[in-house]
Amino acid sequence: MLTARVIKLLTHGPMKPFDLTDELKKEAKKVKKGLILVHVEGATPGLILTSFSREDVWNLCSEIIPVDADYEHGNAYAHLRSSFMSTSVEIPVVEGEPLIGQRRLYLVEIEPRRRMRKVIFVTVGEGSDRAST
Amino acid sequence: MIEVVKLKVNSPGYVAIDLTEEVRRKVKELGTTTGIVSVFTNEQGCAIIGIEYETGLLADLERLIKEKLKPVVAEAFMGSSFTVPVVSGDLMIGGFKRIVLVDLSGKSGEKEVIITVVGNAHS
Repeated sequence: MLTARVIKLLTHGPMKPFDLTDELKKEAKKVKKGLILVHVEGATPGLILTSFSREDVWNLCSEIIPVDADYEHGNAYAHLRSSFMSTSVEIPVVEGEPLIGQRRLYLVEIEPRRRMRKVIFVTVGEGSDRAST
Repeated sequence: MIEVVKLKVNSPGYVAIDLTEEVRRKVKELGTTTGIVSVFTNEQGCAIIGIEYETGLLADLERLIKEKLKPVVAEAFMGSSFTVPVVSGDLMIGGFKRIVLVDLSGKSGEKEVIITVVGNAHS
């Protein structure tokens, strides 16, 4: 089976995490085994699946890609952080559970201003008895 | 439906190439309505990333790679694939983000990009 679901999320930054783990777990219940692609549309958000504290991730970002480093492109720091964090994550599912271990899934709104973000879940797999289509 | 398509891209060896329209064309050719498309490369010194294809930003990316990463090894940090959803027959990538092959190998020639589409198609 294959399904796609789009959710809309009002976000704001700078570097604010929005926890999508519960939405991911809800999605995983649709299949016995499979793969979920989670993607956030846009050039400046990030999508991370991490077991580290947010502070550790943010500090690393600031060190490698500072906000202000004489960039040519106006908000380059946001684009570069988005590209390196990526905006897509693929997660395996077994027995209706995403195999994320101790990690949690976060949308990261990198820039300060408010946005309406689209997050897409595409689930491919063998159906569950509890599947809802 | 699962299709694996190999694409050959000519590269001067140190370049960023926008693959988005090529990927979009393949998805439409296959008639995919809902699914996922993975764009992947195993070419040495190459990476596939999602980034706005703007000259100044690509120059900023180049500077970041040169200052913070060793260019040839950067492939390991930048990723060998970028995967995008297909909904209602089109890539849900937004208006600015593009699918880009970054070649830092220094070797010119044909580079292989593999597009994998998993999805439902028009019947």
